[in-house]
Amino acid sequence: MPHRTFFWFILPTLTAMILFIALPIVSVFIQSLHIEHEQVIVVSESCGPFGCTETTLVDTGATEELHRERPLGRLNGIGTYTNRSHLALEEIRKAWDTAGTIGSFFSQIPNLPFYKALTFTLTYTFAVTPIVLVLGLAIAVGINNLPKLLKGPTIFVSLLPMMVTPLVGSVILFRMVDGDGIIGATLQLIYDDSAPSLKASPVLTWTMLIVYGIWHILPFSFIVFYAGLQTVPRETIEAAMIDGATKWQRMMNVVVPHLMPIVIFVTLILLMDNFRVFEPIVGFSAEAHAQSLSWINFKDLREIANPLYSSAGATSMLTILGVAVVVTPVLIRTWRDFRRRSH
Amino acid sequence: MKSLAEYAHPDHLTQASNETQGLWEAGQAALGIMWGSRGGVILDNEGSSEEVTSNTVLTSAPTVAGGSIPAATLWWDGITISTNVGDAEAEATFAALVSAMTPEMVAEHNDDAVWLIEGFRPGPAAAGVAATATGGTKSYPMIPYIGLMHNALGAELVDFLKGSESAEQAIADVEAAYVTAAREAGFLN
Repeated sequence: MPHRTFFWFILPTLTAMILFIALPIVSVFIQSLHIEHEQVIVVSESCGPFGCTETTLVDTGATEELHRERPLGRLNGIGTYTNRSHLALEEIRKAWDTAGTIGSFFSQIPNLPFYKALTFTLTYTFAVTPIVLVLGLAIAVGINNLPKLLKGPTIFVSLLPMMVTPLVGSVILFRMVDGDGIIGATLQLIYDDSAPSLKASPVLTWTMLIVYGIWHILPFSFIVFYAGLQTVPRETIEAAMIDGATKWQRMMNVVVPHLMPIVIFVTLILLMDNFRVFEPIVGFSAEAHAQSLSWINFKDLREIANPLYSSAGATSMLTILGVAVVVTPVLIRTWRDFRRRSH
Repeated sequence: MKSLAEYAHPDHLTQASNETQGLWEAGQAALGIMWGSRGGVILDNEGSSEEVTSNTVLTSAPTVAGGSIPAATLWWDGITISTNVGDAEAEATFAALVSAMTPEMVAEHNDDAVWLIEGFRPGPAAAGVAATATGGTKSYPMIPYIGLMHNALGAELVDFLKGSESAEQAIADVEAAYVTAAREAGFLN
């Protein structure tokens, strides 16, 4: 397609993306460089049911004045990025200076909220993505080999986990896993009442969240691979069969290489989505054991009286950076394939 | 709290008020510290059995380490009238609300809430809150930065309750988390 035509074709989408994606990101970045004005505190008397006491209040009039003059707040530069709730550079340096051994230095890092969240986020991303890829392909191949009559209903049933809203699905599973719920009670039955509660330890909670994540996102991988399987050229498969290749060899040497572009696409999407894991943590009330970058973002914004906008903005920027870093190897591979093919 | 947590349900770190109320009404708890508003709900006819409700008695919040003030804070519901409402309307609203807060109204709706109005007689559902209030419990400090402190405590004390941190380390973490948040919100420099 000539470049001019392509440009006009893509213009509406490009405009929407700039307006609704690029500009908001720039705005959030600018917000993350500022912190609130100094609060104007005024001491006064407050009389309640038990008498009058001294109390401190925020002077709303003076605060509004300040906001009107400089709505963004005070410039803080990258101060918010390096403070304790984000990269915690000061705290890391202190830990490095005072730690006796490498072990004790590394054991202090998970105490910092950002790194605690990053650990779970990375674990979740790199556990869920490969498993979903492999299982999705396996299910797609399995369903592809079903008799025609069963294919339709089976596909419908396999798509159901993704149709359930993540929050609702995770709350339902949370109730089922409880000691009084069906899964929890069955486990107690099997282990004679000494089964560990799935919600009580970090390891089991992480496992539960990862299993839920795999269950929820599997249909996406399955349906994309299933569509790709329909395009595998029959002649190549037949030639392989004539040459005496086993099913497994046909799979590895014909089907998988043919599906490589789809695998890369699905991997990209999965990496991006899994890095932003959030709903399962809320649905399972798991924040005591597992926190993710999106969750600490949410926590900052949920402060009722003083939402920490710049802290949330900094976490958002760091999340975008994290996604970019995680996705880079896949992009490099795509770039190389593209260059190879066009030569 | 930590020593009591050893007697708690193993999932206690994932349970909020609704779940603990459910556990009480199912008869799975022997001792509970709950919001005063749950008093009426756990004593009523829904969701529980006769055996549990007849054996449920509400009392004051406990004291700690030999002190005499109950380890709790008091929250009260009040009324506010926004400043951008016209003067006449504001006066009328105030008059209407105040004229409703009479001892006669309290007598009619005695058990619906814990009233701070003359003529209130605490029933079994309000016995706990009334005892806590008369024990000299302080009101929740309604100062501007309490929300940040409350959230810092909630976020950092969990590690101590799980047993992965010492109390000193947890308190140091709370202080660091609060200072970070307060600096950002403009309360500290």
